[in-house]
Amino acid sequence: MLCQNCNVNPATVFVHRVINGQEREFHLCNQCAKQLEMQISFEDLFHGFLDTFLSNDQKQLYGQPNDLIRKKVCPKCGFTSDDFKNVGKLGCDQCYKTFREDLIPILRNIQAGTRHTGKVPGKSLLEISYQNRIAKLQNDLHKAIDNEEYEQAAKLRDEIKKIKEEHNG
Amino acid sequence: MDKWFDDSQLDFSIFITSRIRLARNITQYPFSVILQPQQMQDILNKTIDTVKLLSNDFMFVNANDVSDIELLSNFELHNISQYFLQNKNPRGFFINKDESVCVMINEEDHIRIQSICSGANIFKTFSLANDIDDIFSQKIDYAFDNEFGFLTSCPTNVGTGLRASFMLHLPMLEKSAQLKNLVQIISKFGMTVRGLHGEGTEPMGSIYQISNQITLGKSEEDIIKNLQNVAHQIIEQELKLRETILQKNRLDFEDKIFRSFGTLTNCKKINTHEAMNLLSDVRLGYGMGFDIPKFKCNVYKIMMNIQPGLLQKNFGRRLDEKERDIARAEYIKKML
Repeated sequence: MLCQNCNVNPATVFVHRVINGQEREFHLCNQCAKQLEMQISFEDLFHGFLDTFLSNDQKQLYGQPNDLIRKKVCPKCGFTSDDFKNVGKLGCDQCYKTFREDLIPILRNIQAGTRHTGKVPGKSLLEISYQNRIAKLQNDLHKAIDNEEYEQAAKLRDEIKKIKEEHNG
Repeated sequence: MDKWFDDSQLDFSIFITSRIRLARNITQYPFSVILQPQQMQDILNKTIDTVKLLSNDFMFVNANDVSDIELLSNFELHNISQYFLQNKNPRGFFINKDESVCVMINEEDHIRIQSICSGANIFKTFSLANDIDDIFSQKIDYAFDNEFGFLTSCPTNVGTGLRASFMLHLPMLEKSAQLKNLVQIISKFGMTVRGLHGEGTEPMGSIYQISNQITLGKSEEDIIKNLQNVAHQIIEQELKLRETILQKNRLDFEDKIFRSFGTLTNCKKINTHEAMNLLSDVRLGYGMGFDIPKFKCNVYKIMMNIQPGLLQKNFGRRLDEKERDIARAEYIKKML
């Protein structure tokens, strides 16, 4: 889902506001949510002094200050931090990244650590080794160019191209 | 073909089974909480195709195509979980010929690979599940993250996705007050104690499952070794109590065990609970070297076969509670 404000970035924050006594919800990207939060903290600071500076459209859209609740929403499955709190389960694999900050303290409590130290599936092993190989060759390529060893650089470039082609199959 | 539970030496071990469960999800689908029935069906089809390609050893059972008795029997044999038994979603399981490996599809996670062996064979059991996991991972993109490991629906399973467990027969510990203390102590080591059929089930026949709770921050090997250490300490306590009773009051104790055998083999009707307790006494008697006549198979196999699902399945028709109590008593007598 795209951000309802900029319509460009994926919505990752779920904003809940009470406007004229009615509850409204907005799906925003991180950037727009931050802008909104800054605006509102200014409003809090000056107790409405800056109210006159907020455009009527903004007031209409975001309602009055002091009623903003910031919620995260998973861009892949739409699961919100409230869903996670209520169900105690996650909606998809992306949720682990979206709710990472909420998860870490929970994992610290219930697990022996917050980092996996066990088995890695075969496919991921291949992927990790592919990425490491490419990173090393690209590093060598930059060094060769810096040292003006153009013949070596051409060989490395061809090798990178070949490995990428094989990988993408 | 012999099944994992056809182990003739099993009666002499406190370890009844070693079990492994690996929880896995497919990266392209949401987790079970928000998974739609059509997506569940897609996952079923995808895994059926994968298994067909990779192995001839497995039979597929679609849970919605079989009777409730058939499903209940599979639950009693530890092939499927209570969660899997009770919901009605599109779901199924793959099972191999000796029933030592079973893969549930659309349980709390998309894929749950389970293996089971009799006795204390936890590393062998792990390699059975691990091999299937490797096969699946060739064709299926698992939900995996370098930081958190295998990603699961519930964060209590994330990381290794591993649940390793021993099923132990602990009649003397159960009778003593020590079991409660022990449960508290082992929880400090990241382990937990459950009843015969795992989470949320009552202990029966003095059978307890001990398993790891921690799945993240330790490797599979460390988790299993920890479990082994804790299990051996529990067993040491059980053996001490058995020795003490022999020294203090052998006659009364032996008398009680033989009376249990007498009731079990002479009754005309018996409910599951009573039969499990009497079978537990007989199993304890074998373990302590008493000269009790042997059954045709190990006691644990009888314990499974007297459960309502397997009893009705083997009897060939649906039975009400009264009929089951009579059939149970007849079955036990027949096994002498």
